[in-house]
Amino acid sequence: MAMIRRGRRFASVEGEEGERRPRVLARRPGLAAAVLAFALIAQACTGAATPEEEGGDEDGGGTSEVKNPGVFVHSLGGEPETLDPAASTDGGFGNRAIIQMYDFLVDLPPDSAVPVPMIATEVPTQENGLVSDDGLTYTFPIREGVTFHDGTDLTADDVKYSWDRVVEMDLPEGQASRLTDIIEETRVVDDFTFEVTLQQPAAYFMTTVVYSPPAAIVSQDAVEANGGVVAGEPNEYMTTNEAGSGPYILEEWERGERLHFVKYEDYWNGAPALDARWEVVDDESVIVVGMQAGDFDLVEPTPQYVAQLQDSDNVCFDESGFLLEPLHLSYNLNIDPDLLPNSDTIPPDFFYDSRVRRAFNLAFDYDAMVNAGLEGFGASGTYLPPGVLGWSEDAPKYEQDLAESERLFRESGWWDRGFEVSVLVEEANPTFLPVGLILKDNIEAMNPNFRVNVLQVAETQFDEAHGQTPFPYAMWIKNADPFTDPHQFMQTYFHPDGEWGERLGYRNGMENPDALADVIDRAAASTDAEEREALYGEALQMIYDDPMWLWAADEKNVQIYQCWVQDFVYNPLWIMPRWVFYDK
Amino acid sequence: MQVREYVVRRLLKLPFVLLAVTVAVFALSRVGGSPIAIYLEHEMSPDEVQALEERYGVDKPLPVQYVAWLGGVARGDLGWSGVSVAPVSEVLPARLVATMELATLGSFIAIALGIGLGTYAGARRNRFSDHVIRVLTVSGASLPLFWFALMMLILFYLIIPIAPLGRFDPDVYSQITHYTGFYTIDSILNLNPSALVDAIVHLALPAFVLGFEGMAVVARMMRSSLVEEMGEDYVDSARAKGLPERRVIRRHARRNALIPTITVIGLSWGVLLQGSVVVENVFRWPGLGRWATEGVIRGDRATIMAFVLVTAVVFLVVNLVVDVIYAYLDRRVVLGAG
Amino acid sequence: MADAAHVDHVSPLGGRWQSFTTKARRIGDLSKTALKSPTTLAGAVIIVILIAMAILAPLLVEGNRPDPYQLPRDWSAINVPPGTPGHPLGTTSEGGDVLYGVVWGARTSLRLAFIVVGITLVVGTIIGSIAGFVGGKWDEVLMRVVDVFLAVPELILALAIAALLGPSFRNIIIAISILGWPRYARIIRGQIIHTKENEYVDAAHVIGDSKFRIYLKDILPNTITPVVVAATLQMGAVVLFAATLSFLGLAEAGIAEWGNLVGEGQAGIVSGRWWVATFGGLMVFLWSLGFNLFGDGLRDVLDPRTEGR
Repeated sequence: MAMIRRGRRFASVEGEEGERRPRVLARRPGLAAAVLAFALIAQACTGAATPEEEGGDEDGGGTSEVKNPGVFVHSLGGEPETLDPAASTDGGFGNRAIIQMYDFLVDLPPDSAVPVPMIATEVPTQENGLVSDDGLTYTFPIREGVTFHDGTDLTADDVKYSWDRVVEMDLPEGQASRLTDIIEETRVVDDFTFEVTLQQPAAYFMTTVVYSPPAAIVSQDAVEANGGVVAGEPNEYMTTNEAGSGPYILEEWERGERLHFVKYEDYWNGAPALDARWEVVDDESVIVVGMQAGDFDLVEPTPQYVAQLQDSDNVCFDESGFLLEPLHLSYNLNIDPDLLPNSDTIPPDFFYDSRVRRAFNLAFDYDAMVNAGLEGFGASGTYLPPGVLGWSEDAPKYEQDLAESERLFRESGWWDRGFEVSVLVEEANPTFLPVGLILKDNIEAMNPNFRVNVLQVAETQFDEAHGQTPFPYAMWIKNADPFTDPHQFMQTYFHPDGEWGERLGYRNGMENPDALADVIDRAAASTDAEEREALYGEALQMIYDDPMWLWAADEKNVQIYQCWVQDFVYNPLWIMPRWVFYDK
Repeated sequence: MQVREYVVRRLLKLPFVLLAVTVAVFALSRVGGSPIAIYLEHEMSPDEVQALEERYGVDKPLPVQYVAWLGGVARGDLGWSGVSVAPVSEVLPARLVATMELATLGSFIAIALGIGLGTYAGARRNRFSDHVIRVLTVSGASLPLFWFALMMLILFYLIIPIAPLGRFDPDVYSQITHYTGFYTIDSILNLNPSALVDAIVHLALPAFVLGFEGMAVVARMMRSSLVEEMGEDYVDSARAKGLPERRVIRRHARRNALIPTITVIGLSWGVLLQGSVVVENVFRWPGLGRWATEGVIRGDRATIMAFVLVTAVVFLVVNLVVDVIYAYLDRRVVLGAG
Repeated sequence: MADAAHVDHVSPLGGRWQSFTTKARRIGDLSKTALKSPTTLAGAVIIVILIAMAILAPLLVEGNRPDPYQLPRDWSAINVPPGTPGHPLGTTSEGGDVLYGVVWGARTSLRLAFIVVGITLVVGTIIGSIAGFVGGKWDEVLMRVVDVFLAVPELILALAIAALLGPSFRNIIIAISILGWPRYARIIRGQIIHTKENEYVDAAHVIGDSKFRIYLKDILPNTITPVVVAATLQMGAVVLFAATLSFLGLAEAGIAEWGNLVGEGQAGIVSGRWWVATFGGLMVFLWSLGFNLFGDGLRDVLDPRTEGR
């Protein structure tokens, strides 16, 4: 048992101080505190070495008594902003709950990006005839005998209702556009056949739409009985309750503390082995101590804290994959000089010059970012995250080259003129901040006339600025939204007419925007994986030559779990670990 | 009677102070940035942002917003907490009770230890034990609470794992009926000893850490007022009558020295309330402070506003009670401070 | 100042100063008495050392360029323990030098304390004097404003203000300055009312001195004692207070400030990186302890009646 082991681990300290301590504590709390504080510091000085020394006389992980038997305890940094698939936000915690409680037409297996059947009994392809020859119509045969948590049967009507509901509500905070951007029409052919027609052929339909939170299948009866569908207004019932058919039922939500889930005994694919509990822990040192004490079965701390758990012997690691959220810094080519901070001396067209953008990219110390900013849990990135179609180890990526950077700054005239520029960063995030600080240190060390101010703001202040067009700063730092298909990355971040392309004004300074747009558009329309891969390779070279972003690093996706969790599997494309696969 | 008059005046003043606090809180919430920033996402179009502004009524003029907000407050509607994903009014009571439970025990510790140490030191003015206690209490007041809490957490959670985090063990907590929300009281009402033990085990360390700071404040005040009382004539005459020193202190000097100390107990509630912000964060106590810190970090205005408002009300009421007690005990002050 | 008493008879201005200088001399004398107490002396020694450290910071550790109030970061030596060449007290997780933070943190603290105590003292004296001396409606209105400020515990208002202004140390200073004056206003008002009741002021009334003259000559000097004590204690308290806000994440990262060191070091403590939070917290503790010991001793000697904090 973990408690016993910890006691032994600190036995030496007990021996030195334990005799004296209780007596002092009883009489003089203040003095005792001081004594204890010193004891603590003394312990801390030697503490790092202790676990290894003591590791030898462990009884072995196998004999540890499993804590919280029958319940999978997952510690997460926040709680869902909503449980409604129509209202959940890209990258929000709501999605992470939705995928546990709801079913989808298709699923992703633990070890592959190729969809497998879920509520649909077959995954439509052109080979099996369920995708029409023009690539526009998808037919999904629906599984019979599936029941929702409220006891009603799941039919094709529910599927259509679920998808149409998201589109009709069209909540500003939700992800309705995932569906509306690509779907022309949905149809119920019969009780157990559902059909979708797309606006144009799209290779990414299956992974980015069908397996995505807004496409979760809800019980029509349950929703209609609780507020139904009102355009533009959130459904209060669905915000805090669920109406799914998935492996987990929401039992209780203790606000700000934890969510209790029970397994769905009548789950069509067999009930999961464990119930589940979502512990809301925003303090990472608590995550670490809780993990060491065995209170949590699975945690996903930021890299700074990962290192702290490496010495713990009851803890296992899965660090095979990367997050699909590369850390990046933007260059704004759409600056309104009136909005910039007063200290900024740059003109609005500062980043129109490709040489300036490249000079910044070349000044940045990517190794420091990986080794210090991410404490080694990362890699310097190409412009697509590893694991996504089109990513290649050989794709061009920036490395620090101060001489070349200086040459570009001289050539563009800024070396002698000097500049002061501000970069906006969300303060609370420990991985974003180093990007700004490293860039600041690198740039300022090159030339005393260069100043980079790292402006740290709270999350909402950042989001507010981030939502404004034109963006009121010259640069900002964030991580990308997690996309499972390269097209979404390309469209959102690199396409000159995509979301950021428009908002950051790529066309003001990009040397050949149409060529890049053409490559990205062609790759999206293609259904041939090899052809797409080649096109994305081409796009990556163009993005490298004329960069619109400083792509700071890819962060490793580190899952840390108690070794008593059996057969831990994880697919980065899942959004989060899925409890249905775990036992302990 | 002048004391009664004073109490009535204090009571009449309260609503005005409260109203002024609501204006201040509302004004604060409209400083810097959009009041609905927590709901905004970068993918949203201007139309979508406008739809949200209409949904939350922030497109209207400020006085209208204030009246609407105040009307809501009067009805118990404090808005939507983005942090808790629920109406503030739904989350607030449990949070408040958790904080009150912690702060109440913390203040007991602070008062009991503070008066004890203060009396001991004051009675031995300038002797060695006085200096020791003085250094102790001054240290207590100087100790950064966040640092002290952190050290205690590591010590008693990690190194000697006897203190659990949070407020309860869910298994035990779910066994009892929650009449009042105070875990300790409910466990007694349920006649459930294991729940009481659970409650105390969870309360002990955070309450001690929280009370430690307040203890220093109370002890310093107690000491200095005792020192003052010891110099008064009546003490000398009591001594002259041949009463033993212990009795002089207990029956006369301490009793009088307690009067000014009571005011500090009111003030120390402020220390406790703000201390709870730090302590709750370090010990994962599900109270107001932790909730508000999250609101502060995420810029969730409804949460921040509710927190400031509720804290103000609690603090005002506690101080009112303390002032009234003080007024009855020491009428001289009333005449002066009117 | 020995001849101040002579001047008194000659000019009315001298009369005013006389009261102050007498008072100041008394404070000086009593400080000497206070320093005989070992705890007060210890407080004074701590204060002198820390202030010397603040003033001599650029000589002790060369200032970082371009911003000396930011820790110099060594990205190739993150989280190194004390004793590492070049980093005698170790580094933070961003490679920030802890020794630099400790030394320049004294300067940050001294600057903070002077700014905040200066602003709040002046504002509090003016408002408290108006309320106490003028009295009537002014008193009523100003005291209601003070009530509103004191209706919410300081840290909580400061947290809200600093959060809404955005995280930076400058905003922490602004928030604390906005909130600090009511305490002085109350002390001074109370003291003035107390003094006004004393007979010698009544005597002055009888003699026919002007109101303002009475204020300057008889009333204000009497408020000095508690104000000096309060200011001494506040010098310590504001640094502790600002450190708490920094710890909660309201200052910018990497600033050479002690509370920020604890905040940045909090994460590393569990894995044995004790040095960042320990040294940072220790410095806040020492600073606060120094001023509290000294202020406490001063109060004890000057006026045991004044209430604490």
